[in-house]
Amino acid sequence: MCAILSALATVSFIIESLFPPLFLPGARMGVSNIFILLCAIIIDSKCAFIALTVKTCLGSLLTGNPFAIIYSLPAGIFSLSVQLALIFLTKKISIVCASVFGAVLNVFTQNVIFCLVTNTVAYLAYSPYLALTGILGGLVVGFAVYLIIKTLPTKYIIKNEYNEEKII
Amino acid sequence: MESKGKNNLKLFCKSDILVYAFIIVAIALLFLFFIIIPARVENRKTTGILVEQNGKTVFTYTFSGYTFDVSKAFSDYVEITKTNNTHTVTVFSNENKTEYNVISIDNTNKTVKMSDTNCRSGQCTYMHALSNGGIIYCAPRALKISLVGNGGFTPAVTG
Repeated sequence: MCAILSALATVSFIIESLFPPLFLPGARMGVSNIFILLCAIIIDSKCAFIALTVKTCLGSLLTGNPFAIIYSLPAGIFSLSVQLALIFLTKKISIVCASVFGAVLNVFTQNVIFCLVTNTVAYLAYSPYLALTGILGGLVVGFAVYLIIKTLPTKYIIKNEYNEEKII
Repeated sequence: MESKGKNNLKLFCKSDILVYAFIIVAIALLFLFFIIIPARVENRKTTGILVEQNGKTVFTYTFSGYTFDVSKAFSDYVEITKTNNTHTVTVFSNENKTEYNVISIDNTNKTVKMSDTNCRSGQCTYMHALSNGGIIYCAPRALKISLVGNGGFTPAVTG
């Protein structure tokens, strides 16, 4: 299941990269994050991190932008950790809200790392606009995951926390 | 049938308000520190363009005299053409001249943009023309375009 979701995340990342960015360079909806978040909810957090790493590394290499790994991977790991902490540790934050927070954090962290690595501090001026696009992307991802979880039969949810009868 | 742990797997929880409020405040602060304050501080006018690759100056351009100053190290890698009031500068990134970025300088509006590149990501070509500061950066080629004589903080998002 982890491999399937990782593959889906990678493929959606590649397809999304074929489209022009949203309003700003580097701004994307982050559709692939649907499968990462889904991994964390229906399987476990470890699988989500594996899927994230596979998606970022393979996706960046296959889209011809290996440089992106430098800022995408740390930002992705950081934002996913915070998202999972919000969802599973507090248990009082909805998926949609955690997704929005994670998306905003992700674009901001990516922007900061990009500026540090490329020595282009002026790019920080894009961070408020990128954060706004992050809200849009986070909402789309959050709603999508919510709808999938809502419609997915409980038997397919592997994670013990959400399913008393572990099937795999 | 939903289990007890599925409580937060819903569209909205009361605690979300706090998180959303935090996001709004954080974005407002980002606008304040990166857009509003720098815009008030900036009062210098754009006088020219600086293009760098891997931290080394490729060429500089001044709007007043329409003059280029191409660095010796890059003289074989830069081609300049002029049509009407627009300069088109092609910067090659390898000796075979198979990797290139095309920079368009509009002398009428004093703007510069990356009009073409053959790298696979091509993100820099989606950036709006620089007119009042900001930078355009092509990550795969480490090529940076910035304006001279400006604080360089105003991002080119309004076109």
